[in-house]
Amino acid sequence: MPEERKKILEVKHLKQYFKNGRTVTKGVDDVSFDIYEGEVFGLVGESGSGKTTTGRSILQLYKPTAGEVLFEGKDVTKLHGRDEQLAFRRDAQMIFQDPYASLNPRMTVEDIIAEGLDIHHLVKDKAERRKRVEDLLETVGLNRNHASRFPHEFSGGQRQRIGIARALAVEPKFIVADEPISALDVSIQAQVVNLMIDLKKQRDLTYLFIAHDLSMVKFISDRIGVMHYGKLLEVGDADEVYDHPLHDYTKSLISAVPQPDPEIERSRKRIDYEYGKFEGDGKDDQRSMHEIRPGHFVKCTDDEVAYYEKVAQSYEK
Amino acid sequence: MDQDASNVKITPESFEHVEKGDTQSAEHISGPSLSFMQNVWIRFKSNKAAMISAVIIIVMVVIAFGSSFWINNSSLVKSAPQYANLPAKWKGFDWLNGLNGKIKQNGVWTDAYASVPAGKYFVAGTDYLGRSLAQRIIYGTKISLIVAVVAAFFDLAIGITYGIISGWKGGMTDNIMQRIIEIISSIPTLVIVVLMLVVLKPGITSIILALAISSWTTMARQIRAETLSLKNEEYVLAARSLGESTFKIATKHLIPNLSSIIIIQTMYTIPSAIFFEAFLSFIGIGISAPETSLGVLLNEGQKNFQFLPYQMWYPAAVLCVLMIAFNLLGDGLRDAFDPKGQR
Amino acid sequence: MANRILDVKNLKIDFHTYAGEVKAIRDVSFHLDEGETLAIVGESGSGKSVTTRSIIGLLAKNSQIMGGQILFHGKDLLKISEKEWQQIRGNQIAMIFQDPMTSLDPTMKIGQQIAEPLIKHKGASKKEAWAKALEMMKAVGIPNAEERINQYPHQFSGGMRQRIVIAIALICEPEILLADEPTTALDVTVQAEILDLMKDLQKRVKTSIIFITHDLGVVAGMADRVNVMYAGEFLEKGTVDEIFYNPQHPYTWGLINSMPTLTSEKLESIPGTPPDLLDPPKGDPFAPRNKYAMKIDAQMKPPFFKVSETHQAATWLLHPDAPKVTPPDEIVRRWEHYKELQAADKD
Repeated sequence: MPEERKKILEVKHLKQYFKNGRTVTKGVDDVSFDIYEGEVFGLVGESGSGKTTTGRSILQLYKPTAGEVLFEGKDVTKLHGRDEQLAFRRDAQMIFQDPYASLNPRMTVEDIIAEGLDIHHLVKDKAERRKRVEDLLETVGLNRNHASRFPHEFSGGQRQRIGIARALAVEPKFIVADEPISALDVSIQAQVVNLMIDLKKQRDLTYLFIAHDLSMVKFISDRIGVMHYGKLLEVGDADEVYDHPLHDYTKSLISAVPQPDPEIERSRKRIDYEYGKFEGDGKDDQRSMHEIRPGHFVKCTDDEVAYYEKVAQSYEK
Repeated sequence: MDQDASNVKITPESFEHVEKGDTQSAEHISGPSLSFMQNVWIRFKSNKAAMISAVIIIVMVVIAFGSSFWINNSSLVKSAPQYANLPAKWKGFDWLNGLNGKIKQNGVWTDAYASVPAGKYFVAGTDYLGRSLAQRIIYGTKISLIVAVVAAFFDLAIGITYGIISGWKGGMTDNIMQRIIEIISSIPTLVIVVLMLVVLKPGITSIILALAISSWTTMARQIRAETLSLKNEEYVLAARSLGESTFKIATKHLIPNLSSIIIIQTMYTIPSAIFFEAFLSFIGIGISAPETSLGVLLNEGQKNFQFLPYQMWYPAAVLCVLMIAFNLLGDGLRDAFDPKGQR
Repeated sequence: MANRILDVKNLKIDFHTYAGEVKAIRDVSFHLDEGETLAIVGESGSGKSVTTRSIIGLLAKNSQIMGGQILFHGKDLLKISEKEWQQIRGNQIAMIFQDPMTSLDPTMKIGQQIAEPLIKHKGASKKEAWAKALEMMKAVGIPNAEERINQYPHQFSGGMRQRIVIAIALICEPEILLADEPTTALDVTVQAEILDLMKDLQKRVKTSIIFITHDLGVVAGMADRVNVMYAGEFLEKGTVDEIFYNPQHPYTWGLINSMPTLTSEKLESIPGTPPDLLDPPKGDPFAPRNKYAMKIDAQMKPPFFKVSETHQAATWLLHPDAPKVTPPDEIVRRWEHYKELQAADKD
C-alpha cells in the first residue's frame, strides 16, 4: 500500500454520545480511521454497532460529542460561517438507506434532484436546471421524462437511483453511502452497486460504504473497518480482513454469512463470538489500534498483540 | 394460461435472438403521473357523504355572502309588527300543514295569515317583530361563517407556526411552549370571554379575541406531534445534508407534508368555533340585538318555543346542518388523505 | 416414496385496486412433501407472499381467487369456511412473518402467547399449556426461560422475539410451517442462529417448511427444493443442487450472478424492473429483461421443459429447436461443477 496516497478524510477519536434523560448511549466510542482519495472504505457492523451514526457524525448531521474530522486537512467539526459549511456540504454528500423514506413524497423528481443545485446556486435559470436534472437522470440509468413524476411511482431500486442523482447534483468529492442497498432486492442491489462503481471511476469519487452485508461490502470495498458496539475493532484491506480475520468478532461475523452454494453451506460451521473476552471486559480504554500486519490493524491492548500475532501467523502456514 | 397460445405457430424463426433494446424502455413507466393532491381528489370523490357536505357548505356560503347585497343591517332592523309571529307560508303549498301559513293553536290548525294581505309569503315565517326569519337566518349564517373564517385564520397563522417551532426546536423550547399551551387550554374559553367582558362590550370583537387566544391550541399540538416525527424522516436529513436552511426545510419539506393535518384540523376547528359563537350569543354574552347570528336567533326563538316552535327549529336546523356538514367534510378529507395509499 | 401433504394446482389470484385488476398469481402449481423444506425465491412483487398467505387463508379483502385448488389432505383449502380455517391455523398450518417487532401482542405475557395455540387447538389446560410453553422456550434457546416466561415482548431483542414467534408457531407441531422472510430483518449472526434453530426443530417436530426469501445464501443453506418465482408465476423448479449448480432459466442465472461470491470480479445485474401486473406481458414475463430472449419469448409463454425427474424450467431455450447459448461465466463454472457431481454420483 503506497504511503504517498492522499488522505481525503481523517477521523480522530470520534465520539458520539446520546443523552436520554439520565442514561448516556455511546453510539460511537472513540473511533479513528483514515480514508484515502479514490478508494472505497467499507464500514461493516450489525445493528447497534454505530456505523450509521459514524457516517452521520462525519457529515456533521449530528454534532460530534468529541473528536476531530479532518476533510482535506480541515477540521469540519469547527466550521465557521455559512459559506464554509455550504462548501463542505458540496464536497461531502450522502446516500440514504431507505428509498421509501429518503425522497419527499410531495416533490417531483426534478425538484428533489435539483434541491442541491438551488441551494448552492449552481444553475442560472429554469432551463439549465431542467437540463442538469435530465442529464443526471440519464447518468443513473433512468428516463429523462421521469423528472416530472413523483417518488411513489417508482420502485425501490429506481428511487435509490434518484437519491444517487440527488447526491451527484452538487458534484461532491466524497460520498457516504449509508446502507444504500439493504432495502433492495438482490438483482436490483447489483444494479445499484454497479452504478456506484461506474460513477466512482467516471467522477473520481471516494466512498464510505456502510453496510451489514459482508459479501457485498467485500466486493465493492478496497479497505474494510469492522465495528461493534460503537468501537472500531479491525481495519485492513478488504481481502485481508475477509480471508485472514484477526479479531474474534470479525471471525464470528464472517462465519455467519450464508453463501449461495449448497455444498459450502452444508459444511459451513458458525463461530460463536464470546463478548467479554476481548471487548467489554473493563479493559476497553486500554485498547487502541495496533498494526499486526502491514495495513491490517486490530483494536487491542499491548499485551494482546502477541495473541493476534499468532493468529496472523496461523494463516501463513 | 395464454389467450393466443393456440394461434402462435412455432417456426425456426421463433428462436431468433432478439437484441435487447436500450434500457430506457425497460425503465418506462406507463400511466399518467398523479400528484399527491390528484390522488387525494380521486379518493375524496368516492366518499358520497363528504361530497354532499362539501356541496352543502358551498351552497350555504354562496347564499350567505351573496345575499349581502340586499340583506344588510338596515333591512334587518326594519320591523313590521303587523306581520309578527307568522309561521312559514310557501306559494303553492296550501295542502301541507307547516308550510301553508297555518299554525297549531290549542290543537287546531288555524290560519295565522288571516289578517295578512294576500300575496305575502314568508319562507320561514317571521319573528316577534315581524321581520322575515329567512332573511335573519341567512344573515346569521353569514356571521357564523365569518366566525369560522376567523377561527381558521388563527389556526393557520398561529397554530401552524407555533407547532412547527415547538416541534422542530425540541428540548427546552418545546417544553416551555407546550406548557404555555397547556395553561391556555386548561382555562375554559367561556371564562376567557367573561373576563374580557370586564373590559369589552359583548359582541363580535370579544368573540374574535377569545378565538385568537384559544382556538389554535389543538392545531398547534397536532402540528408539533407531526413535526417531531417528520424531522427525523430521511428526506429531511437529506435536505440538511445538502445544506438547506431551516426555514426552507420548513416550507419545502415540512409544510407540504403537514398539509393533510392542516386541512383536516381546520375542518374540525370550524364547527366548534361556530358552535362557540352560537352558544355565547345564546346565553347573551356574544352578539346581541340588533345584530343577529344563529345563536341570537336561537335565543329569541327559545322564548316563544312553546307556542311558536318554528322560530327555534329553523335556525337550529341550519346550525346543525352547517356543523354536521363540516364534520363530515373533515372525516372525508381525513380518509382521502390517508397516507397508506401513497406507498 | 415421500408423503405428499400439500398440492397446489393452477392457482390464480387477482387483486382489485382502483387502478384495475392486478394479476398477482398467474397459474402457479407446486407440491410439498412430508419433512422437506421448499424455498420459494423471488423478488418484491413476484407473488411469493401472496402464495403463502393463500395457503393459510390470510389474503387481503380485495383479493379474489380466480381459479385453482390448494389440496391439503384431500380438502381444497380455497373452499373451506372461516370456521374451518380457525381450526387449521396455528394447529396444522402455522406461519411466521418477517417483522418480529410487530408479530407479538405487546400487552400479553409471552408465556400466554406461546401457550394459547395449545389451549385453543388441543384443549390443554392452562397448567399443561404453560408447562409445554416453557419447554418450547428452552427448545428455541431462550435463556432463563423460567423467569422470562412472564415477561412482555418489549423486554426481548429482535432475535429473541423471532424465537418466541417460532415457538408459538411450532407448539402444536403443525404439518406445514410457512416462513415469510423470517430472518430478513435480523442481523447476520442472529440470522444464522435462527436458521440453525429452524433446521434443528424441523427434525424434531417433523414439520414441512415453505420458506420464502430473496436471499440465495439462505436458500442454499435451508432448502431441499427450490422454486423460482417471477411476476406471479414459477420459472424454474428443482432440488437445491440442481438450481444452484445446473440452473436453466436466464432469470435464475441473473439472480445467481447478482450475488457476489468469494471470487466475483464483476456483478452482472439484470437491467430494468419487474413488469406491471395490472397488464401482464404475454409470453415469458422475463423476456423484456432477458438478454437471451428470442422472438418467441414475447409471443408465447414457454411450458415447463423437463430437465430431470425433479427439475423443470419454463424457458424456450430448452426447446429442442432452440439455439445453444453460452450463459455467464459464473453459471458455466457451476455447470462444470454439476457435471463433476453427477460423475461422482455414478461411482
